[in-house]
Amino acid sequence: MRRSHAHISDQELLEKFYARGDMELLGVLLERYTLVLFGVGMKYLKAEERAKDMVQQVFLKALSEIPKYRIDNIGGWLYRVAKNDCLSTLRQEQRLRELELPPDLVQPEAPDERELWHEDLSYSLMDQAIKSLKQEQRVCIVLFYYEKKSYQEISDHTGFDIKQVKSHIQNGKRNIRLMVEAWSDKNNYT
Amino acid sequence: MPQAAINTDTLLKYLDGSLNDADRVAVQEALAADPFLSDALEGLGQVPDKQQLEFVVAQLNAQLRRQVSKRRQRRRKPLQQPLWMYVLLILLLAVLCWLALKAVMV
Repeated sequence: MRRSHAHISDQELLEKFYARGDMELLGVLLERYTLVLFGVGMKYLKAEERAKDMVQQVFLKALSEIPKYRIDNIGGWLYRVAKNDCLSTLRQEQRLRELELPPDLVQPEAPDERELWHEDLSYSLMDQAIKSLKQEQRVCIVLFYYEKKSYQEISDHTGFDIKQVKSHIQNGKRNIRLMVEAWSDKNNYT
Repeated sequence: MPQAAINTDTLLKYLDGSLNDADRVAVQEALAADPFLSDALEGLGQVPDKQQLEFVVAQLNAQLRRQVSKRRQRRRKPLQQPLWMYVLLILLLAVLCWLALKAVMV
């Protein structure tokens, strides 16, 4: 199937998809962009696992959105979605750091040198905590807490059933908390 | 936008330096004109082991195919309901309507 479409342009493939509604045609088209999407993820997110997660999110969105609306330029659409997804992930991680840090780890108004070092460590730990979450936990947490999606919406978006969504959120929250607490216990700055 | 002319194989060869001069120039021209491709190449340049990229693409494509297959099945589902159930339901409704009309007429 894929080989047989090799000579067809993106535009023609997209037209065929809209005419027939065959999801496999859309899949063939999306596969042409896997590498470049991964590259965009690497540019903004700087880590292979995070870039891969981003590509999967973009594909999920493409599979659910492209059939609903008529898109003329699939490359432009994918680029915009990928870039927005990366920037949104970076913003969410920044917010997560601010919300989840214990009060004593919040940046003071005039930090001294030791506190700045302390802050660097905590930020990098939070990065680690987020990165170390299993992909399904990270996705569910971000969608639930930061994009304010309902369990049902997350289920539609990810393909998990509602019970799994609830479980990923619970486990993800617990894992983040455990990591932050372990770090706080280990490092006594008083 | 990166399509047919600059496909995955060409990009991978460009990254590992095995592209011939003419194709390399073509990629560079496309790079200058296309922010998507330019961002992508910048990001791919950060991957230390370029041979890993082929594996990453294969992995992501396999996940994509699973999603596509799931959605195709989901779309087929309504059609997979046995046709006789719909026919029976319509017949039942027709009979009920007929009985109701008959009762009103009498």
